[in-house]
Amino acid sequence: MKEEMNQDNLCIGRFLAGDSRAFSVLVTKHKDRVFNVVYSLIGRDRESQDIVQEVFLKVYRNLRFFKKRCLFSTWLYRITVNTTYDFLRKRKNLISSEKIMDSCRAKRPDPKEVLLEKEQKEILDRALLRIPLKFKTALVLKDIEGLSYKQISEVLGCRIGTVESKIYRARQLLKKELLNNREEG
Amino acid sequence: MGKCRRVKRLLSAYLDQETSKSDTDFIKTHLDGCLSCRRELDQFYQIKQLVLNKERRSISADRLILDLEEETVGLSLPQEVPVGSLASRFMPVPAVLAILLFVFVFVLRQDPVEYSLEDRILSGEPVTTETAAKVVLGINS
Repeated sequence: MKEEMNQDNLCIGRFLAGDSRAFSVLVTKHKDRVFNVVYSLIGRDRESQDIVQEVFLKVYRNLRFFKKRCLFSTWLYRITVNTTYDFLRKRKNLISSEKIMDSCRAKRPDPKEVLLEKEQKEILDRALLRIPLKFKTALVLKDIEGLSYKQISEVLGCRIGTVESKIYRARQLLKKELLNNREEG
Repeated sequence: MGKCRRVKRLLSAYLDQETSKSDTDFIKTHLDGCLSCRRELDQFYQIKQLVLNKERRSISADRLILDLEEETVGLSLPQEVPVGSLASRFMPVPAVLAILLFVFVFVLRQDPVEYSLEDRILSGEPVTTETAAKVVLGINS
């Protein structure tokens, strides 16, 4: 982690000194983790890519204000989560899971495709979409990105105890969703 | 029963190895003798594995960088904000305050108005009978 921090700080220093290529290095290094967080939260490919771009634009504009009091990745996750929340708020689109479920069903009347729909990956994706954002964000940062509770608390700006509760709640809801799905299937 | 409730609440954090030493010991001891909590732990474990193994996606760096370059083409390269620049940014604040103080003290400040006795009586100010009599009789003093 220390090595990662040094690499990032080195890139930031070079970028602020006028080397624009250093920013590309940062983007290349962190793009997938940003994308995976966004995609896990909103579940839409094209819009996730737009948000990733928006995130890195914000980083570009605000990197000079980054005080290195935390890891660059923590700061980046914070921007990612906030940008995703803003996006969803603006679109008044707080994942209407029912609609997504309906559209998934409507698209696949074919029995073969119904079977495909039952694949574990899709079931998990859809179950995740049903979980409220505030719980899901903590779970995604933990299990998809592998952050510690402390790091998550820094990203979300809340106490470690709150992170613990959110992850617990997310897993409970996920369990419920998966069990429901099994019963429906 | 109370122990189960407490343990179940902690199982998620236990799975993430985020419980304190004393809680971890407590949970381990409890799990040895509680089938219900072991089942709950197993379910949490399966769910965690499911999310851990979720497909990670990737986006093209070239495309993203190209888009970013287009978006930032008009922007100058950001410079590090030196600590002193904050001070210089807020430097005008005391100067403006000093000017406002000057305007208030020397321009806006007016001498207190001196009211006549009639005005003072009409405003309800208590006056002596002698003073009131002087006003009525038109004696100025």
